[in-house]
Amino acid sequence: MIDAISLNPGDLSLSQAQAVAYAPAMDPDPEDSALMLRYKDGDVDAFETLYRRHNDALYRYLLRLCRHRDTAEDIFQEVWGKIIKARSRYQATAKFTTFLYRIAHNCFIDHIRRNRRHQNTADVEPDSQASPTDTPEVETERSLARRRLDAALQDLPEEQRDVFLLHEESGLNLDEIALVTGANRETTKSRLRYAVKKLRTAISEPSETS
Amino acid sequence: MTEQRSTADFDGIDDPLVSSAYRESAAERTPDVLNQAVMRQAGEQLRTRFFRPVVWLRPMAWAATIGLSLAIVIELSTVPQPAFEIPVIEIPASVEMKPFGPRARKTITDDGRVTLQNAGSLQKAEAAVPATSSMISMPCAGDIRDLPEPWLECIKRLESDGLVELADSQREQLQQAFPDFKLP
Repeated sequence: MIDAISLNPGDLSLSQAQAVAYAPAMDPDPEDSALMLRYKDGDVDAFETLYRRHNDALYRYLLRLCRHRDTAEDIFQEVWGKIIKARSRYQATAKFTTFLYRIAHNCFIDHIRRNRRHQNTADVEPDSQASPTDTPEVETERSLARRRLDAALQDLPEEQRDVFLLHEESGLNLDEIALVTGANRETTKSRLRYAVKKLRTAISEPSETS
Repeated sequence: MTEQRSTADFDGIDDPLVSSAYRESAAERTPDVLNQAVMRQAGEQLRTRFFRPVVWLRPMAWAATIGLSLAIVIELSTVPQPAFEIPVIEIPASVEMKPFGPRARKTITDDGRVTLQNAGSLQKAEAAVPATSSMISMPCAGDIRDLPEPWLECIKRLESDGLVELADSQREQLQQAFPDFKLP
């Protein structure tokens, strides 16, 4: 239900959300686990709904974690392939998002173990979203901030970058991020604090080019 | 990007400026090629679900094993057992028949021939064969009984062969036949 609310937070009031939760047959926005169970029973449309909910966030997470587009795309496919293959064994005991990012995290770790070259080959250029209302000066400043953030993000230690990206992209709480990364809560919190602090410093600093 | 989050967890950590800058920076969307590949894989996996060997191989193996076992059992129970038939022997009228004694024996050899032995030759043959367990049907018979000593030897062989009851019976017969003979 949490995920259902997260899609369109303005569309559902709490009481409506509760009503939806107790009426699965008429559920217009079912939970991830319910969708996965439906896919397990052969409903490919349920999988598509589930996939559309998470594909972009997972893609961005992997793209910035790997810093290499081809690798990120390979891992992305590998992750969904594992989800697809695991459907027959899937049980809704944990939040689907945790399940998804746990697989993604493990695939990334496996990739690092298999091939260390990703560490030195960052080829991801961030896509920018320019606001049509921004003046050229504001847009230039924002663009520089984005570039500084992206550079700082790439310079973060892998564990800190992982935690920050999970925090930003997955919507998981600290305990869930800790579960995904296999670290304890305090370590996770500490990594996130350091990551945010370094990124803040990078954004605030006047750049050399400016 | 998922908007929902338990903010209480991140009190003192979250920085709106960083989050905002990140969200402006991170606007990538999954390429359509990837979307199509994943969806195709999801569909194919469902379509091939019942055709993959791992799904039906084990039940089929069990069914085949049970079926084969049943077939063997049924086959064995319905096969007619070869009837034991004594071949009819036609004896030409020209052959002179000798009378057989009361203990004449009819035997069938491995190749199906029927042989008949009269009592005299049978007794001689049995007397020639050393007494073993194969003599259970006719222990210590014939000339052995003429004298107590060979009879007793025969009884001892029976005992050494473990045929104690038979030996006891023979002892009684020996005692009755030779009351004066002292058994050890």
